[in-house]
Amino acid sequence: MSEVKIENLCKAYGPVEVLKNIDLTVEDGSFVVLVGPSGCGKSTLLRSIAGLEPITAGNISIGGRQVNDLPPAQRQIAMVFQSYALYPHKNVYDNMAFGLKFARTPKAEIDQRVSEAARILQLEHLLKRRPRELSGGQRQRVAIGRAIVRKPQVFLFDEPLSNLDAALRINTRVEIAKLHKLLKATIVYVTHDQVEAMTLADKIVVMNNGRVEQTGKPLDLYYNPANMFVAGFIGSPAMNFVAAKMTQKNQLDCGAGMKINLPLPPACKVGDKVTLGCRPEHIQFAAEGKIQLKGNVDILERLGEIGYAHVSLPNGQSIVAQITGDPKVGNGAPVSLALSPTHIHIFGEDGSVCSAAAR
Amino acid sequence: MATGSDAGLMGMSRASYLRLLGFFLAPAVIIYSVFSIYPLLATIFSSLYLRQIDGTYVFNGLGNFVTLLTDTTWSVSFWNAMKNNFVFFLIHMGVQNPIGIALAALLSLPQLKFRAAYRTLIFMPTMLSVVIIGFTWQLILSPLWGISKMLLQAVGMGAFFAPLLGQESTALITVSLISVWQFVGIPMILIYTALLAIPDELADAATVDGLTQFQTFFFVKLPLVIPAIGLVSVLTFVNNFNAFDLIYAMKGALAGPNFSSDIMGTLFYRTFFGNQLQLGDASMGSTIATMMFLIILLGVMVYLFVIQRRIQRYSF
Ligand SMILES: Nc1ncnc2c1ncn2[C@@H]1O[C@H](COP(=O)(O)OP(=O)(O)OP(=O)(O)O)[C@@H](O)[C@H]1O
Ligand SMILES: [Mg+2]
Repeated sequence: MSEVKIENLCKAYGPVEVLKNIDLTVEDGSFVVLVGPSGCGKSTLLRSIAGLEPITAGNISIGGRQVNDLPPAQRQIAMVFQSYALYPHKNVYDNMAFGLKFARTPKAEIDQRVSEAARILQLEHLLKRRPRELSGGQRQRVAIGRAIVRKPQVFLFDEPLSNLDAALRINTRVEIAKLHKLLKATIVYVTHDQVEAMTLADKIVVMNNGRVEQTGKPLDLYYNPANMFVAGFIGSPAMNFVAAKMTQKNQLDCGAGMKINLPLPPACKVGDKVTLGCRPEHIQFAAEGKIQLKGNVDILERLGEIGYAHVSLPNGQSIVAQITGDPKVGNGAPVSLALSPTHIHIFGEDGSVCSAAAR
Repeated sequence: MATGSDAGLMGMSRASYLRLLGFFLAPAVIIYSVFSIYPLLATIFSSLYLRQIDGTYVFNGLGNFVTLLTDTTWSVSFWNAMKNNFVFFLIHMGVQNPIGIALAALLSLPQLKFRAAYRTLIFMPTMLSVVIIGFTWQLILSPLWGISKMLLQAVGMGAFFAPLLGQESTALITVSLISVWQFVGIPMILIYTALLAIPDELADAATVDGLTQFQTFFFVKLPLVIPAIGLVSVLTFVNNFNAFDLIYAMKGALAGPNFSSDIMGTLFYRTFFGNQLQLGDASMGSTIATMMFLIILLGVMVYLFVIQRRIQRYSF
């Protein structure tokens, strides 16, 4: 049992509230990823769980034990830092064994745990090296090894891959996923990277401004974002938003004569200002289809198999549509866009979704 | 230049390239020559001459050095000053630098309030004139009206009062400790700066590993600031063997009582410029100055070639 339960957690630096009423449960053995824009409080939340930051209010329990007042070392957690934070004056073995020595673990057991971790992480031939004699990816593995030898109930990762180059990042991502399976560990993982979040997570927690905006399985967040923030944050390129007004039952007016007929959720009333959201991958160049918008191509980005067209609408807004192949349209050419009706999201004035999308 | 023998920088002719080189190098070369290299060479040169009774000088080879080290009229004072100077240095190494390190550690505590105030206050004496420091401490320690006597008496420890600056057994130690008090800000600032360069995440990692704040300092941070400690040590060495002003301000050129606080600087001063009945002797003074130079040179070389090479430097 190594469930992490956070209830009503608040954290303030003086008058600045950094975390506001966070509620979160990390189930035993699950991989939870915290995402959100820079400065939204992800690291602070992670450090609060670790015990590196005192909390202002609320409750944190790990494995059913309240840990609010326990120092980090007694919380049965291990943390992997963004800069790896290896001890520069100690070799790989000692980096991993350092904490165990202070915990008065018997020498034989230290040996056994370190060599076990080194085997899992393929560090056996590097044990005598100092951190500066290692590559970035190797340092990363040592940092993970240092976490493993502690045999923690919960692993905490703060952007562990952000200092690696793109290729290594993909490799290490896969390694971490395998490690999670192997160790059956409970993991809380902070990242900026959408792909990391989508591929690794059992559950994603989207944060903004010190609050949890939405929690859910990766595809749940993708298909059913609870509000415009999550909708815009998850998915790349970001979801398109078009301001609209409900002028008649089941009809939206996007301005400049663009009218869309669409079965709208019952919560919407005639006269409501709403925002229509649709992801680029659900918009195509097509003259037929139930929901049509017309515009002029600003620019085409061809990436090979797919590409993105930036299209400006008559009302002045610009939206992005995914294209496949190589449509022969020049810049400024008029095009018709077809929006997939089952992938349209309607958001109310406060930004939250007006019930599920019409489907 | 890699651009061939007759072409200078960027297609300049060789002559104008050399002129340009000269233009940029000349200021440094001239200033160093006039103010450093020439005086040094002149000192060494002058140490090779002997002063005659009539005030003229004749060449004497290394004779002055032999006299200084072996002839008891000179060697007793010289070895006394040398011994005192080492005591002076060891007190700085053993008291000033550990206290400096401890203060730096305290200053870098994250929960410390009024950090800037402490830093400024501790650094303040370093910026004061040595004359003021010397005079102030003389007043404080004075057996006649010194506040230290009254303070000790006020807490019932009057019996412990002694004329610290007036006893042969305590004068040197007292002056050394006053110097320590004055300059402790320098190791503190240098080591504090080195401690600041250590990333916070490293301390966090140690906290997660179960180390207390003290253990983190001792086992993680201290090993990482050893280069700064080495630098502080060599600076202390150079400063201590060049020291003169505090002793002169507090104990005069005679560095009493009975030369018990005499160090190389004061010995040099008396010899070179003369004092009371002693006539100034430029060549013997230069001999002492050359010895001081050699001692410092030796110390710095030991640091550079033996100690510094074994010190690991870390980039974070
Ligand atoms: N010691 C501090 N004092 C005051 N404010 C702080 C302190 N540490 C962090 N903050 C503020 O708390 C907020 C959250 O910081 P945090 O480091 O948790 O962000 P983050 O989500 O991890 O960002 P990033 O993705 O850039 O790492 C930020 O607005 C930051 O300015
Ligand atoms: Mg962060």
